[in-house]
Amino acid sequence: MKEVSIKVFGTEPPCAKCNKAYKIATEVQKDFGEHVKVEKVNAMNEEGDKYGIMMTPTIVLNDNVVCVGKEMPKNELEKIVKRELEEN
Amino acid sequence: MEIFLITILATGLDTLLEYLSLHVLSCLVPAFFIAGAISVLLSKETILKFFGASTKKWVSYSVAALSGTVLAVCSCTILPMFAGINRRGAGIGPATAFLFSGPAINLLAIVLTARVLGLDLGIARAVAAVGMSVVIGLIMAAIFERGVKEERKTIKTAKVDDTAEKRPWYITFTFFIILVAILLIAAGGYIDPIPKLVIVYLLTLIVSVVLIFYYSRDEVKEWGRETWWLVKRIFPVLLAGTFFVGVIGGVAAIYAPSHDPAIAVGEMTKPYLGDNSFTSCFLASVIGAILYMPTLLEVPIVGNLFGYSSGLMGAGAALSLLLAGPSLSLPNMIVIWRVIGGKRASVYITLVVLISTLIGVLYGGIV
Repeated sequence: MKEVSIKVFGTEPPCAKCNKAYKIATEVQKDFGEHVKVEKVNAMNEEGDKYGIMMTPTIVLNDNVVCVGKEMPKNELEKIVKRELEEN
Repeated sequence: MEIFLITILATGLDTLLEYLSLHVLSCLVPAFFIAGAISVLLSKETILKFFGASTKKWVSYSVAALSGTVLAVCSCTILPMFAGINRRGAGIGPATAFLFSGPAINLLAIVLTARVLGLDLGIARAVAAVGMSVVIGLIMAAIFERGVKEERKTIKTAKVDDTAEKRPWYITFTFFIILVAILLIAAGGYIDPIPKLVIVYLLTLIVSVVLIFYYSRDEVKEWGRETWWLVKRIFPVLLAGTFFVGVIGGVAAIYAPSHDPAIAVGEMTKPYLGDNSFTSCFLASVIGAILYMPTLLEVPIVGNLFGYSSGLMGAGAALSLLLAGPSLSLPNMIVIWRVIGGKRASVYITLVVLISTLIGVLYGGIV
């Protein structure tokens, strides 16, 4: 089984929605265990440039942008994580 | 001492009740629904593509000046977009235009200004903010990008492929027109209460029909959630702030000549902010630029604290404060400073303060 990395891009200082998005991601991580890594990234640095982040929160899952400008519902994020884990 | 305390708290409550009255709520409730709909039901990616490096300059500037209403319901969305437009897209000009106009033409703020402080000041605020943002953007570009060759890297913008079925544009358009109509009719004082209620009711029915046929269940749910989220985030702060504005008035009444808490602060600041002179407007813009004001609280600050509503603050000075206020504050200056560097940030801040002052003087001369 390969690992899934979830990057939550937010602002610094964090805004309410970015915190929510990060919280949802960590909850998903707890459900799937060690195969899922969650990381909080400041959107306004080089890493943000790399993905072309314009709106926060943006969620990048294994280098794919999956959600822009809103918190992703937990069940949707879980669905994508599951699919990624099964593919590998 | 006890009597003082009671007076002070009573003033706070009075000011608060003024903002809980029907005529304020009847404009804020529909405005919150529209803000929620904008944030959930409009595709922002359509607008974002106008900020690309290859877009014609005049298009970028116009979109930057106007899109604040659509894109920037939450102030924390503005800085990442500003950084994005600046570094990866249309450059410093449109980026600063967006940075300024975003918070300044926020729909909720314009509606509340027009309702509480008067239609003329509300319109002046919206029009001046849009015009001013373009002027600031053009000056910034002229200073910092003159002679710079267009070799910005175009990196693709992060976006998700839209899988949702597309609605025809006229449905979205009609939907928002009806929402705005509800707002105008509910907030306007031109129709008697009974026919008004009937018209608003009928319009709400039309909205429901549009929702049932053209929008999915999830979208409607998300609209409700977003609206509630905005109310929860903005409304308590507005109420607490308004109460606090009243309390300050109560405290000031102890020292003010008239001892009337409703006008005490205005009375004391009248010598400095009371007319439309350059010094009044300049002072008002500096106050606006430094003071951190939570969304919408600039309205009671201008109307009640500095006494615009009781004629103690000049119309020009009021407009200057409303223009420089929402876009700048001390904490926000520090963030801008870090994103674009000291030189550009200081030019931007100076431009905002000076142009706000000039527009205030001009507006004061007209009214």
